[in-house]
Amino acid sequence: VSRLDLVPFADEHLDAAAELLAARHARHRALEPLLDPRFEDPAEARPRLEHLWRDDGMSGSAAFRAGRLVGYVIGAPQPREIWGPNVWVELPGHAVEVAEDARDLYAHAAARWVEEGNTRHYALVPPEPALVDAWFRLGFGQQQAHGFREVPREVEVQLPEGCEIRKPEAAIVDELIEVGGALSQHQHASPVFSSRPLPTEEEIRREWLETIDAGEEELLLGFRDGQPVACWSYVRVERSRHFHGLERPDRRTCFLMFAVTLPWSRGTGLGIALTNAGLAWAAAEGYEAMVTDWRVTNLLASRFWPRRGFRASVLRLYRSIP
Amino acid sequence: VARVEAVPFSDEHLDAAAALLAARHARHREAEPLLPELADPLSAVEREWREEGASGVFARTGYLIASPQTIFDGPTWMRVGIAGHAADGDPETVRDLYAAAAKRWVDDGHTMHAAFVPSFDTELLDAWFRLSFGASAALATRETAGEEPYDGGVAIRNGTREDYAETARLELEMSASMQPSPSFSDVPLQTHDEVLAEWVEGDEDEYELFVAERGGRIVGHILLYRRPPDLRVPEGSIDLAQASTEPEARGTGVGRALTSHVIRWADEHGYPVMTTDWRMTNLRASRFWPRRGFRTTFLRLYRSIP
Repeated sequence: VSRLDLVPFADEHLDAAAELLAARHARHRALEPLLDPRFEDPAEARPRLEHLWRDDGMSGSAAFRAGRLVGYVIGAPQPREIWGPNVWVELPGHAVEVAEDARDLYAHAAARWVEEGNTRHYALVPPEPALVDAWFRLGFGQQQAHGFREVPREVEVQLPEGCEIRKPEAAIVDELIEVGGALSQHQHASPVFSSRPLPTEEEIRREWLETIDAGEEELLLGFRDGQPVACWSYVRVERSRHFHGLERPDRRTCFLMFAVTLPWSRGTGLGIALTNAGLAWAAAEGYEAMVTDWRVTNLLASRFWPRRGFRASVLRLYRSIP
Repeated sequence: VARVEAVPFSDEHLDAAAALLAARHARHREAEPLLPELADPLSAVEREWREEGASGVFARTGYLIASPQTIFDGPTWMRVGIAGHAADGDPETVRDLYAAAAKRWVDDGHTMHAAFVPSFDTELLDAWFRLSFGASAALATRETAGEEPYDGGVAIRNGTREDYAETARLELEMSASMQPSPSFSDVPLQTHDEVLAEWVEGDEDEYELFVAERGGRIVGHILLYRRPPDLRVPEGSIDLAQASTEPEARGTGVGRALTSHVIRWADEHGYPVMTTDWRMTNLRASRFWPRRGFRTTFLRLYRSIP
């Protein structure tokens, strides 16, 4: 194998990088058939890559073997107040012919990122075993999963005894505070240890009122014995930060944006009912695919969603230095 | 809904934990026959448990213990040792055990976590990966027989005390090479005098030093160490504890020549097994040692919160 030469990524690499990205997307689509086939065409992949490359603070590396581009990794910081001193490598932000080359590319690119004080690194990676292993051997662990599934034409919703599903109303917003804060509470605890600040009651109340008023979310509240104990929220996929471009299915897709059940009501079947009710709603609305995401360190979520048919087809990997 | 009912680990759990460890090690030995028999699993678990500051959890199907470890005044990691955990059946159990144990570690201010995990168990590694742990180091082993000499354009000889200043310099070069990307080691670098003092004060009976010379200069060294046996180090084996090549000479065959030399030396001197370790984020090392026939036995996994 000839030597790998590494240089800073530059405009002149975009054409060849788009070829690599299109080829990687084809491999990705073999693993996740809901992805859009048009990005297997370099001419379609290139604008996505170039758009990303023009983002503020973007930098990265290109790898050559015998004068031919064989890989690239580019990344840029996202808001520090949410992600800390970070760099994100988005899904179009990397592609390699040989998985192991991703390690050299990261090593070359990350030198600058760390020098600039950005020590928390995030990478969105297709679930190709060799590629995931290469990132794993760079000290990255999995933090989040992006899940994909088809929407069936017919879904049966079986409600557990004593349960019902309703839409929220502003009049009962005070009863929804606990449900509204439950996911943050859960993810603050071990083993997620989310560093996001917990919302105050007032912030939760305001968010409920704004959400109900806006009417853009299909909100399904789960009640048990007359008390709200769960909430599932479905929106059009355009509302999601990640499911666009290479990561968006090639058909009408909705995004399961939020789902939580209060601790004392978990494991009772209500979450399954709310998921099925959401799928039934999606089918009625003409959606053919549903996407969602979850923290893999959230043990409950990481076991629940794959059982609901969601395939973890994009992995968010994370490394914090030190 | 808790899948695993975990309670704080205490002395009363030692026997059951030893049985779980013995079963794990038996599975591990099926995959890697060079691992030694574990004659006394109770002592192995107890050693982890008696470490200062150790804490952990126990469940019917598994246990997890860690203790704070500090290297050269660097950061303190809450580290699960090689005998610090075992689970019976579903590898997913380890995620529940970690969730239960790590709460206290983080409450106590320990946000850097490490765990040595048997590398044969890919499902177990995946369970840790899905706890956001990445690979940071490897422990490995190989047989010593059958190594052909490799001509790296160097003369290899046994090292002497007169070489210590040079080998201390090379050791420091090795440590320094862990500081840039992608290792980003935050272990503070020792001074040459500190490293040299360790070389001078070391017990020579425990070590075998080999140096490689090119053009009359020492350009590489390997230090073999008679490491005390444990559940990954067989009795009568020898550990390749240090290997370093002058930065300008890396990739020119110095390491290959030294490695083939010491493997042959070990074979001829009655050491049938050689162990070693490397930083996984050291790209060169992580590619070099597997090509020299070393098979990974444990991966050291690491997670920093946040």
